[in-house]
Amino acid sequence: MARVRLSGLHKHYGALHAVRGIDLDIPEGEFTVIVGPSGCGKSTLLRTVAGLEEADEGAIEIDGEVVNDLAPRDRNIAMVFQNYALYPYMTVFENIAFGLRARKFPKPEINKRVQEAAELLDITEQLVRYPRQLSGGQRQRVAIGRAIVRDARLFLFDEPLSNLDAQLREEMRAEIKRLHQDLGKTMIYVTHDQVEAMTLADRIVLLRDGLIEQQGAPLDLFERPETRFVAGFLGSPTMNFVPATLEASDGGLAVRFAEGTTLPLPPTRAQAVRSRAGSAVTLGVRAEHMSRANDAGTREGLAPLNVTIDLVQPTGSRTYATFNLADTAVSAELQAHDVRGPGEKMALLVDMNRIVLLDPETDRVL
Amino acid sequence: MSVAVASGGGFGRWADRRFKYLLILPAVLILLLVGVFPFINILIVSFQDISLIFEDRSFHGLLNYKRLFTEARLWQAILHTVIFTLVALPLELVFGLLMALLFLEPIRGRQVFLALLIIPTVISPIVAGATWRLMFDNQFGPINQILGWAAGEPVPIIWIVQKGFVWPAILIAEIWQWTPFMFLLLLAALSNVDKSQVEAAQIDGASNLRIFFRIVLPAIKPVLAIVLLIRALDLFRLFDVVWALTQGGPGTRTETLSTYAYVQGFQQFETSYTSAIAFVVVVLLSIVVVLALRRVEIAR
Amino acid sequence: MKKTALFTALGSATALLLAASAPAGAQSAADRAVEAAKQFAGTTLNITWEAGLQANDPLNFSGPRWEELTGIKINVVEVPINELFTKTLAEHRASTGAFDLLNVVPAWIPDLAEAGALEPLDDFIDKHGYREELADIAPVYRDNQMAYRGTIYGLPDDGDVLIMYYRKDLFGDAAHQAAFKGQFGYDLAPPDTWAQFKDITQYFTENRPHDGFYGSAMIRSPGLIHYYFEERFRVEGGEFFDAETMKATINSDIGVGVVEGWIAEHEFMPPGAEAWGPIEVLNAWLAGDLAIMGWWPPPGRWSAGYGDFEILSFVPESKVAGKVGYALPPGGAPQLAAGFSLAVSSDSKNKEAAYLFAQWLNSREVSLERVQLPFALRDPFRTSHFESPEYQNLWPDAKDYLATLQAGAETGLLDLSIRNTFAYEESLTRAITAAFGGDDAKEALDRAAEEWDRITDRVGVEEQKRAYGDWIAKPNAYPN
Repeated sequence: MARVRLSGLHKHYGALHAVRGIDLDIPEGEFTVIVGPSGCGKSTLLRTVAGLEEADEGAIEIDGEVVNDLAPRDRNIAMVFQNYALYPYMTVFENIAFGLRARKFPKPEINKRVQEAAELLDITEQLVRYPRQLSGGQRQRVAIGRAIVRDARLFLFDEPLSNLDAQLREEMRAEIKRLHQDLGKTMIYVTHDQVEAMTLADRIVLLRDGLIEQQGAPLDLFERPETRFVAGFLGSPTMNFVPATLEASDGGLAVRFAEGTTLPLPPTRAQAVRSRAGSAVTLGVRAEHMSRANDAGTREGLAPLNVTIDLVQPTGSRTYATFNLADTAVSAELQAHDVRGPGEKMALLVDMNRIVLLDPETDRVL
Repeated sequence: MSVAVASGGGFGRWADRRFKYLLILPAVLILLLVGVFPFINILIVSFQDISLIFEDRSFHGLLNYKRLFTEARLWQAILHTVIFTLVALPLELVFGLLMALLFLEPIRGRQVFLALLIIPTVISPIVAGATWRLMFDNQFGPINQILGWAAGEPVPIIWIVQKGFVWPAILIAEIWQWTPFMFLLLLAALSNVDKSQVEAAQIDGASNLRIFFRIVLPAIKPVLAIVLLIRALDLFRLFDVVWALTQGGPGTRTETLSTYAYVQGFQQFETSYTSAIAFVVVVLLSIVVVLALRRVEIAR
Repeated sequence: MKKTALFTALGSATALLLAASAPAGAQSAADRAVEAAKQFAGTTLNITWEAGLQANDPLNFSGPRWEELTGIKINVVEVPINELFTKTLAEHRASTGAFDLLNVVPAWIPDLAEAGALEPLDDFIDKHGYREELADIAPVYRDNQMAYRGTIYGLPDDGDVLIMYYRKDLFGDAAHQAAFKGQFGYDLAPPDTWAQFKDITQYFTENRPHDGFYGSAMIRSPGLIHYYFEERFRVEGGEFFDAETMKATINSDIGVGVVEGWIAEHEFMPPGAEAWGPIEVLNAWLAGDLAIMGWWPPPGRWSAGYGDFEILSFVPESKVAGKVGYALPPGGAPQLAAGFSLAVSSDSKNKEAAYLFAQWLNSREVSLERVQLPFALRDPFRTSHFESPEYQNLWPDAKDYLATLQAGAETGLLDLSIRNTFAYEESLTRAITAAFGGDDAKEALDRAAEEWDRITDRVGVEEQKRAYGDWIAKPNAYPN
């Protein structure tokens, strides 16, 4: 178990400034997911922590010890690679035992640990096989087995599930989460998949262009994004962003769209943005925060919106209905049978408590 | 093709099934022509008695093969060849490998270094030999010059004559010329080793030595085997450098199988005898190659 | 004695022929060759020539002129000297007819003639009236390098002989003369014996006029060293074989003495000289770093600075012009190392044209021009060359030079020429280089002698005995 602290971390690749000053504090036992689009520097950051890359500037501390000058093998960490990085000329047993042998563990201890890890990961029968004889999921398990068999103080995952198909990915995701619960180790997990980030993380660190855009608990980030980038990155489907103006109405505030439609802000939300009255804003609203108006009446904060559906995408339990608002395609997540088809006119309710308002200049949440 | 099958019936179907064989037929014929025909010719000539003096094409049985076994000079040449191979090959391998490992790291000016390093292998062996003859010149050669600076007094080694120096001279030239070949192929092989496996092993706590022997070496083993085989065969035919430096001398001290065969075949005109040597060498080397390739296959 | 007999025989034959068949008008052999060759105008003759400098003669001088005169094109096939024999024999065995005229080293004539590769030339010689001019070729070449078992196969075309060059300025220096006599008790002069040679080289090494100067350097490289062995061995009284049993006797005390003598002399030669070839020796000589050295005739011309041709750029500028004396080597019987004869290929489709070109090249007038070409390496081989006023005036000492060559052409020793001579030479060479490399000279020569016996066995003792008998019957096989 380890506490990890990064301060002022920089990494260049020639002209490319991949990591541009990261400060990050990861408490013991926390599952931290570093997420961001490709090229944001998340893998580089992880590799720098592992010692596979040298930091150009800044310090990496593990348990209070600066490890910048320690070789990877001396950092007592474990890492799972995107392509598994199994040793092709060794059996599964030898793969898992490799680290133990390298660290001169006694033979019986090695056998015991490998057996335990194999049981935990349900790959006992594969121990005598070679990696090329395994399925993708089994390979991933071996890679994880190789990481957990040593009592490393820190676990690093570099997009470990991205080579798996969707179903397997979900399975393994759950397994990794359980593993964390069982082992209670500090884990840093890098992914570009916001679903993985949301589901696995104790804390998400969202990286953009080599800098931390925002960090915090998953729901915190999901519900209280600070920037348009965070708001757009987390959640599926992506948040809808619609240009609008904020105007005063009936003593309160309302969001007004180009075609004249308005959505009143509940007083609780209005308070914070009163000073922006009359200026342009971007409305951010998630698909699941819109629903079809029905007879059940309305509760506070739900604002009606009349739309014409022009695209319908059923997924089974829910259906995504796309309509046009202020020249922007907006997608709403409706009950499966709430919509019949394109061209249907209907009234939607927008949950104004959950929307975000952004400054279109800075893309920061107001 | 399928049209031909539909309409042509018998022949079309036959041709269709045999098409792949028809495609490789020209290549096979050419191989037979350039490979098997000379081989058979050598075999025939080796049972005749053709030399500078006689041109007797009648069957002489094992005459020349018997001579093979009584000619001490031949066996000495074979011994020399084997020793050259056993010394040069590991050194070339080690140097080539070390250089290749060095070049895996990003180095400034890597391309330039690479181009410079490959020069020895690019130039013709006979030119390389001539160059080394100048290098080893006892009066004007840079080798003695440099040794002289190091020793603080003139170094009078006559490399291509003196006992104890002729072999090192040839080995140095040979290794200089062919290490880059090893280096290039091994660099290519090493570049293809999955880097993440090495990183995984580093994180697993393996020492660099362990990583090399357990991870890298198995990965480059097929290339390694082929490179070693190619170089071993080359070394077994070692000729140019020896010829340029010592012509097998002094006496027969550096005579290799190839220089011996050259002297016998092209200077003494012992055609039949040389054919017998050639035949035995071809058979022996073929066996070595087949065995070696089989081992590589098994290792895969 | 025998020599004189043969000469007389040739002479009288020539006289008879001249009387019988000389055409009207006092045409020279060269003119006759040109006239007769005109009927073959338009054909092309393929001729082998040693690659390198040698080939400049037919390429740049004689070939173009012959074509102008006769309309016969000359295609020169340049072959390195060490491949010339095998190439010639291989083409003959394959009956390719690739060559019409051949450059052959005279010692090869027995092997090539036995193999049927050479066309007998007597009929052509008679037909085109060449006997008289043949008689003008210096005796040692004419009597030894032309015929095999009574049949003429080659026209001797190159007066190769290994003479000594010495620095007459140093040898004539009064201080050196006095010092030398004081140390060794006799006058400083070109050596008569190899013991004197060693004294002289010792003296000049120890009393060097400048740094980097040594007493001597001699050609020691494989492929040539055997010539020097053959010469010194015979001069000191050695014989190659027991003529009765055909057992090799090169490992006699005399043979061992030759090799050990050399090793001792290396002390007074530049470091590494035991591996020196002609070029190294020549360079040191022309640079003025040697008191005495041995070579073929060309350095006589190059030392004098004669022939400042661009083509000779590999020859360093001479620093010894005017300081060179010429002498026969100790014993006075120089090796006629290599040399060339012109022979007609038996596979040629243009034998007569090929012969005519050879006669023209070899003729008195044309050959005199050729041996004066500074770049072509053909050396004087006719009495008329040695006595040519033109040649004698090419540089101040040219007269002495030609006199030395002429003397060599009287006493010169033939290269060993029996069956399979290469094998013997190669074995001998290995023994010598092994001794240079540190092996015991006696043991090395014992091994070589054993190898010689085995080579003899393979050839057939009787066959070889006959060939050796033919060879020693020649006047210059052993010193008289």
